[in-house]
Amino acid sequence: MKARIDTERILDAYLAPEADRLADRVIDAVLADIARTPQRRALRVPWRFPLMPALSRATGVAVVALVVVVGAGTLVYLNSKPDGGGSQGTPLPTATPTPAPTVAPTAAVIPPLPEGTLAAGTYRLRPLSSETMTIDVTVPDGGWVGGPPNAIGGPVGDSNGPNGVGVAFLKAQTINSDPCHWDKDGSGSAPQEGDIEVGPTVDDLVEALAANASYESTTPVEATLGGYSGKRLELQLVPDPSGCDTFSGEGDQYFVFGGRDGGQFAQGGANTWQVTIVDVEGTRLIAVLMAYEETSAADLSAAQGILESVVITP
Amino acid sequence: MDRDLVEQAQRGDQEAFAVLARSRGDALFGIARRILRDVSLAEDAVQQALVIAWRELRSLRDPDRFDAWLQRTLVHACYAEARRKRAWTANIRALPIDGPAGPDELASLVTRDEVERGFRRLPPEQRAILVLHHYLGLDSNEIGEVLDIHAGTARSRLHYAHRAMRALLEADARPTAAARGRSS
Repeated sequence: MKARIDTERILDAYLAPEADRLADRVIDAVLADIARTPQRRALRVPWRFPLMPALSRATGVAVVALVVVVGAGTLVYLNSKPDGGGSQGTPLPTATPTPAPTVAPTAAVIPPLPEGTLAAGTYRLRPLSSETMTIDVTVPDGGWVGGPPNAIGGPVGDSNGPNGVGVAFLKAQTINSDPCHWDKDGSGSAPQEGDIEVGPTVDDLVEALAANASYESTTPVEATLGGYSGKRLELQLVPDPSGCDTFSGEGDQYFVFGGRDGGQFAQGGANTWQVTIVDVEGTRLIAVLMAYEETSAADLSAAQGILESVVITP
Repeated sequence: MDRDLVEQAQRGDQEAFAVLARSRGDALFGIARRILRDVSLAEDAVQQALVIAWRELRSLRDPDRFDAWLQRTLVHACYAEARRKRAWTANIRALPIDGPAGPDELASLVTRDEVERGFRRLPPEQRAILVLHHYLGLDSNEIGEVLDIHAGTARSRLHYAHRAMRALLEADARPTAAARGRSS
């Protein structure tokens, strides 16, 4: 007990307040930096681009709302039939829960991946825009960061260089032959499909990635993700994405994959991507572990742990 | 007043943010310097934290929590700097060992050198929590708010940080004591 008290007294003395003066040049540098640094929107999605322009998004919301209303109405109608014909309808994703309002919630509800700092626990991702697939991942303590709908960033610098780490889930039918110059139509808008169409299998995509000379890749090996089999390879991306095509004035982006669900760009210079591709009952799912040479072994190991925790519901 | 400044800065007012940055600069530097034990790294961490704070300011929902949020941003910037430091450890500039506070108290127990050495061996996460507690005087609840963790977790981490520091001090003291024993 005496030793504990001594340690605290020692630390009180050692860390005691004294006159600390920050050099003016630091504040000057900050003010110069912020003059050219745009503020992020309140609901930031640090590693994804806006999937749709505002008009399309509004239309999408309206369509989803319509589907919910029609789906719910259909269920109510079918369930009201004396033969209980509700079970004959094609199950709509939005109509899966029972419409009965008195059903108690289950005890083990997995929360959706939120934006921002995560408490340790299991979260549910719905990474693919046109699929009902869910991916449950277990995140350790330490300040990991949620980037819904598809990504989780590390506790140090999120997924950004020079020492961050991140995990993201994607899907793609195309890749870019030149990931730095993905803006084929010159519109500066995303998403855009890549110029290399890839066949439907895991091997098709693995071979296309391995054949691309824009980045270095390792020999693909057998791998699994959430119990599903596939292949894994590593891509060593561009040392510096400066000068790559850009959208929305948000910097230079380096897109390996094309298309709406492939919207993951290199998070910094010399970003290493460990790409795992598996076939989930006909859907080709891509998991990317993004890291850097300076990423700590502990953060890398924790990110691997997140991937190993994956539970996929097709 | 500060709430107004924070809200103005959230709307993109750089002048308002400059006032906030200048008024917090010294305090942030004090925290970073104690966590990182290096003036240059501390300056880098403060600069990094303030730029990130500007960029992410709109995500701060309650302007009254600006200081805790800013301190959290700084602590994370310190973690990043501490890890970056490992790549060029040979170049670090240490703080002066003979600080003005409490030398007699320290001398009666262990040398400041031993404390310095022990503290530097702690991981940045443990250094940060000790600085928040012993330098800023925050309790577990307040540390939890700054680090965005539960108070119980903060309490537990503080306990383990103290324990780790004690173990390092004891380990450092043992050979010295043994040597003193042999020479006497």
